[in-house]
Amino acid sequence: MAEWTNFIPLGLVVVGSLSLLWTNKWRYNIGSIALQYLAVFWFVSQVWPIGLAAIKLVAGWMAGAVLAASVTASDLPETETPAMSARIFRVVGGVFVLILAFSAAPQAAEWIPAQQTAMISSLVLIGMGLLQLSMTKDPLRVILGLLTVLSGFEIIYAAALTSVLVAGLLALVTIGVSLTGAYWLSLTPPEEPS
Amino acid sequence: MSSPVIWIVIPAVVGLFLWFLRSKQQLSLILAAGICIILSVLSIVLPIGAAVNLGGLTFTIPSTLPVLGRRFVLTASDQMILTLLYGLGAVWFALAPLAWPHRLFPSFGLGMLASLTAALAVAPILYAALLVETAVLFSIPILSPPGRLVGQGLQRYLIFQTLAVPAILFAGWLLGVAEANPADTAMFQRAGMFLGLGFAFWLGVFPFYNWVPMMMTETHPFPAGYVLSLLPTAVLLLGLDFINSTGFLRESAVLFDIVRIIGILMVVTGGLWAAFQVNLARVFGYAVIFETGFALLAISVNTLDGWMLFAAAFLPRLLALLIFAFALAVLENQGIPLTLLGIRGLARRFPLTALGLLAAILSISGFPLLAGLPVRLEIFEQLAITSRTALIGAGIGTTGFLFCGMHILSELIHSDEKHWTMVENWPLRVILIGGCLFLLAFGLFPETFYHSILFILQAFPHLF
Repeated sequence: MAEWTNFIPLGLVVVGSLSLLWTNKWRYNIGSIALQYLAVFWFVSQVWPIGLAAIKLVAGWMAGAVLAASVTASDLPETETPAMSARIFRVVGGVFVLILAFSAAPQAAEWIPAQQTAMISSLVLIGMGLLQLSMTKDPLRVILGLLTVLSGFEIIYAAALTSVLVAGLLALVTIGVSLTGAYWLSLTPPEEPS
Repeated sequence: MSSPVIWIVIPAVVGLFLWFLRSKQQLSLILAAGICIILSVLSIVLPIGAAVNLGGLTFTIPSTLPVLGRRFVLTASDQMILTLLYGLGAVWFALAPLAWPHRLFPSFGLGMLASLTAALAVAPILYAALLVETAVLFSIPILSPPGRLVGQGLQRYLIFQTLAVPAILFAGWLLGVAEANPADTAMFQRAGMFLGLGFAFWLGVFPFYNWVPMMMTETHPFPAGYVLSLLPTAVLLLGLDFINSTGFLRESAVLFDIVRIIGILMVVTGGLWAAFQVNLARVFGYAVIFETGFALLAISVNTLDGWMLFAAAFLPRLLALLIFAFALAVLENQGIPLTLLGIRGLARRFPLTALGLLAAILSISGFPLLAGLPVRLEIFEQLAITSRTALIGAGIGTTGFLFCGMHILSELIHSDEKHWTMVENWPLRVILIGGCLFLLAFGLFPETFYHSILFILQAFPHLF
């Protein structure tokens, strides 16, 4: 595959993770997670057999589906759109993460055998996930932040190691984290009708 | 049938079975306690890897179970660890009908035990990270059962435990690369950094421990006590396994210096924060931090005596935390606020609960004649040889925790009531008195109890 094609999943990662920061609407958030896992699959399929790499995509999308189903079932009201200043603050934070990821990737690539674009994508996802986790108390967004960090880690770890057991257990953890999110959402009482 | 099947697969299957039985809470708790007792007894009597002669039938229990190209290994040297883990499970499940008979506890609690045993058994060891995470995910329904909203402490618990997974997996891979090229010392340092970060997240090490007291206030003290007893125990044993299996870590003086500094910080902050705490659930959280700090201090000694102290400290620590959590659960179940104001004069109405609470806290702070003292004294002695600063820090932390105990004592007996009553029912009385007597017996005859637990160290032969 031509080198330039790797910029497509990198673009998906950047767009997906920034949109996670920009909006609180769960539909867009789940869509962003789906995009991120597509990018993860793209990168992992270059170093792992396609069948094994597909586990990442299936697990990631299943996690998204579980969360989406749970939000729908819990009948939660749509979260209020945050103020424009808050959104700008988050995106500025996101841009700092992007700058950090682009600058740190060449050094990191010296000791982890991953492609440059994969490394950048991985660092972007880890950084954006941590940023997300540090700025929220909402269970759904916490879970989305954790999934983002884990997906970023999966890209570089796949470049470092190929193992069926690790692939299976990481998929289990991904789905487990999303099930935890679904469980937490089911505990949140719906708002009293006014 | 191999040993991993007996101590990992069977409890996992029973846990799944108990999930279907969850409507029968008492029965499922009894079954969970029963299977834990059986597995604990089997770990004492069944020789792994040696021929067993049973009524003329001779067979051997293999120690290895291959799964997808990797192995789960439980050898004869791991048997004391199995006894400890399943013994711990048996006691907590057996007490649950009185303290917290929740329908989700037996199945998910057993799932946690099976996952943590798998984490200790898996080879290569780096895969343990994923199995510990599985145990953490199993603990979530126990900590936030239906009816309780999810607080920030619980969220942070999940966040920190999950962040440990990438750090440990990555450290494992880096260690493999470094061992293939021993001249590259930078790779060893990176591996050590990630490993330290992973264990810091797992153990709730300073400064990543704020979730511990927060989580305690958001959930029932009994399940929180179970999780905070089991998880650090397994993670500390896993840490020992990492040190045992990695020559670079064993020989690194810097590692043990860092562990000592972190240990001091945890003991000092845990003890001091507890001294000024008005919420008893948070005091439990600080007790866990304080105990983990002392475990790290024992590790930092890095001599045979240090390792023996580390192993010996398990029993008094787990017993004190059990009684502490049980006493808090009794109060919580009675609707008594777990604050200093809430327990004012409580010794007049709940004398045995107050006694249990006090004995546990004083044992943790190393009060004379109680279980915690013998090990504490030995650790102080070792620290006096290796690091005076650490000794002073440990002293400050211990004084803080002792002050906390005295503060609680003054509140418990502060009452205008003239008469004493005993609200606790008979089973509660028996358990609380028994627990206090055990704490006293451990303190009076330490060698009787500590001798067997030292066999845990058999699993880590390279440490000494």
